Amino acid sequence: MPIEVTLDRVMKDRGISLSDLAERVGITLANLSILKTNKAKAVRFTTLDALCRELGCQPGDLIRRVD
Amino acid sequence: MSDAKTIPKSPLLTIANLAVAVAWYAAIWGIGTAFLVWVTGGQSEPVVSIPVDIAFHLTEPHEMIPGSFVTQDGESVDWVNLKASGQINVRPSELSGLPQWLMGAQVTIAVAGLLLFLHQLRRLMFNATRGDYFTAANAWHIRCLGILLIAYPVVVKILVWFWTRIYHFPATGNAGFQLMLMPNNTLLAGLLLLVLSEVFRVGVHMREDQELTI
Repeated sequence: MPIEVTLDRVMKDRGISLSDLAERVGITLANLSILKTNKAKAVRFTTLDALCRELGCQPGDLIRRVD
Repeated sequence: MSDAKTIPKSPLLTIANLAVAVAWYAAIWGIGTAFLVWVTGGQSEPVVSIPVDIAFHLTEPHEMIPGSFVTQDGESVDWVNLKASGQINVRPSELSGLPQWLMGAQVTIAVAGLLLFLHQLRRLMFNATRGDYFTAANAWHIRCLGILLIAYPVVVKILVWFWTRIYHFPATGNAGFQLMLMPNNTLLAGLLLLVLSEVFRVGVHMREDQELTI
């Protein structure tokens, strides 16, 4: 898929672990792992909003299009 | 990922599972027997000697039956108008003397088809008892069941055509003989299963999409 999730980079910059983020956002660790490893097929706006809120970033910081 | 609630298992599923298992083992026994007939050539003497008189009673009052028939007057006809009951005399035609092994092969292939059908059904039941419904494997099993059900009447019709070339069925008066059931319902059921398999295939995609939406 040309859309790539850059969640791992943002998490590294913020120094937050996967389990911490999952707990703060309110989604399961398994689902966050799917998102982080680019296996997700779609992301809900509510999930994206919660991630941006907790990571203090914009949606564009979490996803990008690659050719 | 969705938190799927556990669907309670229906007791009908358990009964169906048991019935399919019994049919499965019966079919295994059947294919073994048929294979033995095929390999050994079966018994040397037929159970009934031909020509033989067969009394019959039809549930349908009138029906036009295609095939190769000889009337009492010795006239060859392709179609006969049947009455409810009568008696026929089956005798071998010029092509008679079909080897026993060919009959054995025919029965073996028929039971093998049944085994394949039951195998697909068992896999489907196994997945259902585990709670896996919308999976790619189930869609494939249903598709196989549909194809087998469609193939069945086609094969039967070919065999009917074949056997009418082997034996003549002389009609006494208006009487005749209905060779075999024409299982057109099976054809419809097969087509329905093919449609169902497509529904399952779409269901699998929808489930994947739903599960991989975060």
